[in-house]
Amino acid sequence: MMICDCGFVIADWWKERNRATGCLTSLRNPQSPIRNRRWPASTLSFILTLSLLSPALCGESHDWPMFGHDPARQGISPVRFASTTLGKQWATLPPRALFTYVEGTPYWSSPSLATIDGQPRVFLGCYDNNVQCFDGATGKEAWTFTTGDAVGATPAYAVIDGRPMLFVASADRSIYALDPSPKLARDANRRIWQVETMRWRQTVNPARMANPMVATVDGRLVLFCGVWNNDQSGTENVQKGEVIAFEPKTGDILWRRLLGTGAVNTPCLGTVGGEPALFVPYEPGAIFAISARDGRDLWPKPYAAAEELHGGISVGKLPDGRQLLFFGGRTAWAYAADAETGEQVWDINVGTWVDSTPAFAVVDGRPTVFFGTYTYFVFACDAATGAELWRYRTRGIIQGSPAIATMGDEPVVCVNALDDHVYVLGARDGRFVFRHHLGKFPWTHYLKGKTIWSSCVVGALGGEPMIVAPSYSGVITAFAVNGKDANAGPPEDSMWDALGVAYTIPVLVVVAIVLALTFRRLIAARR
Amino acid sequence: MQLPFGMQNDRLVIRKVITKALLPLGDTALDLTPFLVMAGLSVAAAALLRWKFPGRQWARRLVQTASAVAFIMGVHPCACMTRDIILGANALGRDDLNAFKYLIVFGTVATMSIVFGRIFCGWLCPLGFAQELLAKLTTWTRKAENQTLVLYIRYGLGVFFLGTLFYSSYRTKPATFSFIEHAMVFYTMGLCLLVLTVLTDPAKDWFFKRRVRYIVLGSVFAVYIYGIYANGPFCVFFTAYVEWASLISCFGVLLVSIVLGNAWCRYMCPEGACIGLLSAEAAWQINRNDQCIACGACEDVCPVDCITKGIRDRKTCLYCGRCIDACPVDALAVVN
Repeated sequence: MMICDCGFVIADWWKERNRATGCLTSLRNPQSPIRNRRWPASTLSFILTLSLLSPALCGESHDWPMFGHDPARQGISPVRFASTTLGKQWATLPPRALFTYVEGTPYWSSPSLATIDGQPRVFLGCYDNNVQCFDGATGKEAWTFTTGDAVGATPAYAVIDGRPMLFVASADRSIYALDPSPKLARDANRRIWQVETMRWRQTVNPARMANPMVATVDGRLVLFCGVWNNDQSGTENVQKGEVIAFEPKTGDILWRRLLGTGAVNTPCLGTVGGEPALFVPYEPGAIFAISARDGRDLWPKPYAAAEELHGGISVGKLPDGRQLLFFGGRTAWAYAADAETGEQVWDINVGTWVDSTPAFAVVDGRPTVFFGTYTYFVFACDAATGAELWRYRTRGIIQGSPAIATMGDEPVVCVNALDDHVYVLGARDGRFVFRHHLGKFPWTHYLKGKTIWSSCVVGALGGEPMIVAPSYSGVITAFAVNGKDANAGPPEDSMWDALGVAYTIPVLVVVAIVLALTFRRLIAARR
Repeated sequence: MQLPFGMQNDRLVIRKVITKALLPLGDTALDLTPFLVMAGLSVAAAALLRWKFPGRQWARRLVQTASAVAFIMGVHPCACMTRDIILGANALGRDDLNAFKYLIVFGTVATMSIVFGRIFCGWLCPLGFAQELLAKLTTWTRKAENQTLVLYIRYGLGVFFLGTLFYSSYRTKPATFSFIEHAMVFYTMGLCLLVLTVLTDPAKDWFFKRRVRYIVLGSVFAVYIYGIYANGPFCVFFTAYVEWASLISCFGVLLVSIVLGNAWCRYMCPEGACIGLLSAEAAWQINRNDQCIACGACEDVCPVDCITKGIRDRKTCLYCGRCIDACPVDALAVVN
């Protein structure tokens, strides 16, 4: 397989530029020098390892062009923050009121970040059928494109034959290719092409679209997307979960692979026997390894999961050369499987559901995988053995996928939690680094597993490393090192936690009295 | 295979011995094995119930043991019929795999209940089986000489149990989402108080049996309609992993059954309440003929005290057949 090794290329280019200019500078803005300082060996090795292990598109490495940053879905951004003191850089305007909401749809999709013609851009899908583009430097809305239904999948950005393109998967059963160029007018028609994956009938239901990705296969770029379509007609009922490969320039379908009647979640790209392979989580409980060239099966049989798989998969290469798939399911366990054979390598008990896509990175020479769980914990495990390295308890369910970056000398993990906060934790030991409130939960109640929200991402926007965190409150917030300090500090037990004690003690006393009186009567009766 | 339980990362972990489907439905995690086992054991139970023979209760214990082993060792989706009705009906035509996964549970048990009566509760349910076994301790304690010591043991168990329940209630936190998910902990606490009341005033038994489990059933339906993923004490036996609240509530149910047999089945089990409503007009009924001499032998052996003056409460009866076996004049029989 030809994995685009832009990480290597960019790392070499970075060193050449440094030698030429005599100092370390930002790739994007040569006028914005980063402090010239000695980098600790562990941090340097971490960053170089990121470029080694992260297959990247032929684009800007500081972008976050798709869900999970790259086709391997490892969730690593090579950006480096100068320190851990983060301030709020910008926030979008408060949104309009929620008009309608359907369970299973996030308010915002996870964002993708890109710099186009020197302009930083943030792309997200929205529950209100729109794809929105924001100026990454100011947070102001740049343009909006309306599809036919909710956009819950993260848009994917790529440069195709020198032309920037944005690929959007909408629940209206269509894949769109849009022109995200900043040169176009705000109200210009940005649609380049649109492919409807299933024709409309009055009985069709919204499709479930997995996060699309653009990857290099045999030297050319291909757009992949997982799609689940449903026509609830009694006579011509359709329930199809499939993976479709498109020619990104024209939208021509290269191949379609039907997996079954269940939904297909976010796939990742790796290799099986040297052949480019898509590892596709099939929600009813299997993982398929199919050829990225033509969609045929590469494993003798699919990996049989113990329960449903509602999250995505990431793939990581260990120092010993093994490729492992990392995923969680609707049990209490997270798993790793051998990408070559589909055999399970290890599992670890994480308490309850894992609906997010794990992130993978080599931290201090140790391959590490990070999971967010429904038990409020972020787990870090040894990717080779599954041994738990650390865990950190937030104060809410973690459904978003972790994102990894570097702050100062330290690799960090960024994640959203249902306690309305974004967290930044040290990737080495899980120490608390940063937390900020994103906005209140807008609905009356939460449906476990059906109320979805998005993940935060990390990238360089306008030359500034930023964390971009969309919230179900409708606001998108970006954090950067800007002289302000927006850290809310580590979480403390809330009033309700204290009330739990206050509630428990008097009830305990009352029931203990009742118990004692009752047994006293029993004893008296027996005498 | 791994051990079914143990300590991992200072958490108590219980997992199924068989963690993957033995008979998967296509490329899914849905295992057809438990439904085949359930159907097969139901037919076997029905056959054993229909024809009276010496040692039938031993045969019943064998069926219960086989069922408990199958459910405890195997992995399968939620067996909560109340939830499955709602989720399965909602998924029909949209996601038939999911609809099948949910409705097959209810379909299997409902079919058997409508035809054979509440034999799931009397012959298959592992929670009911465990309660019956523990209730035998009550028999032993009645015969024990030092009754005061026995009472203090019960008192100690009760305090320990309540302390554990309140610690769990503190962990779940009022007014949070988890509070409703783990509400069965509080139902179990209520069961403890019910049982204590009944022990001192047996007339309350019928008062609670006619009311409480339908209130529980209604509240559980409301929770599931809202889509909240509430768990219960039976989850320990049925699901692929065990949450803390399920474990605590199951522990409480089993402790309570030491002092009053099958207390959960009598007063609280929403699944039993649902099955009881279905089996009230089941094709098979246990009827009393004219040979009855009103000796009360059937009332003495009934694990849920559903017989009063020879009249059986159809919605409460577990179809265990102990009354039939105990009758000295063969006045009771299963009739079609």
